[in-house]
Amino acid sequence: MPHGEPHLEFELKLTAAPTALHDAFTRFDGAGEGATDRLTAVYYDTADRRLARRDAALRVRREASGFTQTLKIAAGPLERLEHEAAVPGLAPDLDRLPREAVAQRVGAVLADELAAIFVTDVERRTRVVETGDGGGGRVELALDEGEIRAGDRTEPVAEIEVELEAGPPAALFEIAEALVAAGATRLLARSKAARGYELAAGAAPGWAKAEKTRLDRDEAVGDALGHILDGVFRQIWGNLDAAFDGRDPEGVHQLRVAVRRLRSALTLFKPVLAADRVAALTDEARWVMAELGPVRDRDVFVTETLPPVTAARPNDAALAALRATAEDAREQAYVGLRRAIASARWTRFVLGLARWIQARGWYDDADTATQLALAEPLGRFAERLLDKRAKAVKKRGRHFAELDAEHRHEVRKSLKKLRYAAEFMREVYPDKAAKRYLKRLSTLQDAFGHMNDAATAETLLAELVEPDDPRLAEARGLVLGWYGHAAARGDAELVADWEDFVAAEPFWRGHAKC
Amino acid sequence: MLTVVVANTKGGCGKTTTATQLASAFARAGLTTALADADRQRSSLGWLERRPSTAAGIRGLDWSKGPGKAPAVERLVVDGPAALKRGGIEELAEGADVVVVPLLPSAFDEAATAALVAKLAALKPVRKGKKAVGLLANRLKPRSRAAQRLDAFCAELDHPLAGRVADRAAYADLALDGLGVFDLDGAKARSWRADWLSVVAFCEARA
Repeated sequence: MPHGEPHLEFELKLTAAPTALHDAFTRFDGAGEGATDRLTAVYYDTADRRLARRDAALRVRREASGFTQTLKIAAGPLERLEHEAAVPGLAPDLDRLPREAVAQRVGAVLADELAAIFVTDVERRTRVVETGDGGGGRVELALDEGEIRAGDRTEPVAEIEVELEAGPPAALFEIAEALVAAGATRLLARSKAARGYELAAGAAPGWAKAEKTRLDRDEAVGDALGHILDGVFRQIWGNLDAAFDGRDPEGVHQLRVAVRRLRSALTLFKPVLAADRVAALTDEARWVMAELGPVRDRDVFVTETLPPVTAARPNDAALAALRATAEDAREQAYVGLRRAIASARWTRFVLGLARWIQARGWYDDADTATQLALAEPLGRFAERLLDKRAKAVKKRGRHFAELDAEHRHEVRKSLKKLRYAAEFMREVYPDKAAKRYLKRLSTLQDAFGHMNDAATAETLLAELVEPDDPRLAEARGLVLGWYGHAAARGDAELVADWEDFVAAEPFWRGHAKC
Repeated sequence: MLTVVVANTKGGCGKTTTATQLASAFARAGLTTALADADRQRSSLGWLERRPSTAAGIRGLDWSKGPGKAPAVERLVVDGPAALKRGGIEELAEGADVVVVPLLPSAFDEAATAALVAKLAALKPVRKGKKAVGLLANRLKPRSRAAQRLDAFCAELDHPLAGRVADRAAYADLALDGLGVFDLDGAKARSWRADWLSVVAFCEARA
């Protein structure tokens, strides 16, 4: 019969400016046999893109040796299930795929529904590299250069695919890190298929929200940590390309959310993690946040802070000038961010994180006492943690109405920590109770956010506006006036939201899911 | 599991044709599929009895005396009852992810269908978008006056048209042979199959 077992592909991609990419690749020239091939692949899907929506891609590729049909189904950020079969020509043939296995993952897809969506056309040079440690690791490097075509649109392709052929995943990370050291410093998170779909639709790279984490109160703390970090990593990975692209501000925003979730997971699980690991990851995460911060501040200023003020004074020339200045500043900030994302430091951080999570490295880092703590059931751990966080918030917020801005800022920070703990752990508890609690929590956070708008706007305006520019100074006054007024009105609301939150029933007490 | 209920209070509007075509499309795509017959005439089960063993397998369920236990399959197609008793609409929609309402281009059919669709639309899970209701224009004669009238009628009801199926003699033969259009390969059946693709896509969007 035409079809065999699926193959699990473990792969990542690196890119750089053309010269640097070539140099990095040729560093591995002597390493193994090389080959060059021209690969043309046509990607097929239904009119409503059902394959893509289920993270699958179907292509037929023309190679020197003939035509190969491949169905790839994403199984994780770096993993894909692959079904392959030889076909007589460029047309797809679903009957050559294991129908039941495929249908189980992608649902009903009928041959008549398939149409060509885009074409990839690359010159591929390959090298096989073995890891030096004698562990039997073998990795294939493929330098792909060419383009993706969809209708009359094209997009260039220049990347090195790094695919694990044999041995442990660590082998893949080892070779990838060597490539980064050799100058191929930027990760490409999206597959060629994902890029083809976006090209066909004229869309910017997609971004990723935090997903629910499946947790069970009886599972070991160490395993739960794995599920949480898998989710965090998926969100980091899912926003890398959108943040680099910058057309949709959501990419940078969601990437910041993901990195913040990482930091809070590291803090929450500190008791079971090695101190030096937490310190190293936290340092790098802090640097990443510092690189993302300026872009986010300017995105918010242009897309959220300014619009209500300009809507109230639509023909104000001073505001228009301020807007232009802010947009320039945003562009500048993106230039800096792109440089950071394409840097070896950034890529080492992401690869190191992937490697640690993939290997469940906290088990290796742990001493005997920590091993025991990692084996504790999640339920007890979660309740202790949530109690502690909730207590910290209430303690800082005592006599809330009388607190000054500085002390309220402390309340806000501890609230954030509680929020992340509650968001991670809510899966262990009945949904309704958690939802109710988190609703009050987030209402309070939003109220804090609005109070903070004036301060954020002021800080940014101080950066954007030169003191000797009278027109911008006038616009600055308008914006500050607007938000200062809003803040004064918001204080009573903030206090009321605080009272509501204090009265909320903690969802983790006596509510354990059976 | 995705459950598709094919329903119309009016008989003879192609309910069984729709149910059997959808079931055979899902089975042909490689999904484990069951066809539950809730109609007293049990014509879907008759179609299944005539189905050749060479065609993709479909499990038959007799629900003519009321809905039974949901089977462990990936797709369940329910050929709904022809007449609904009190509370029948709620019961019918209860287990459904998608409700497909086939209708014919005739003025008589419109009133009954409009009433059914209005009742379905009022159900909370439908209002909240948790269940989909799609209309299927059946036995269309292209460019006929009746077809144009049907288009206007569908536009008035606030529900998407899941598909348009042309009137073809082939359906009578297929019914006798226990087959669906997706069991037929080859170029001739391509245009027959084409009519059903949007209905399949409408259901699959919910899977």
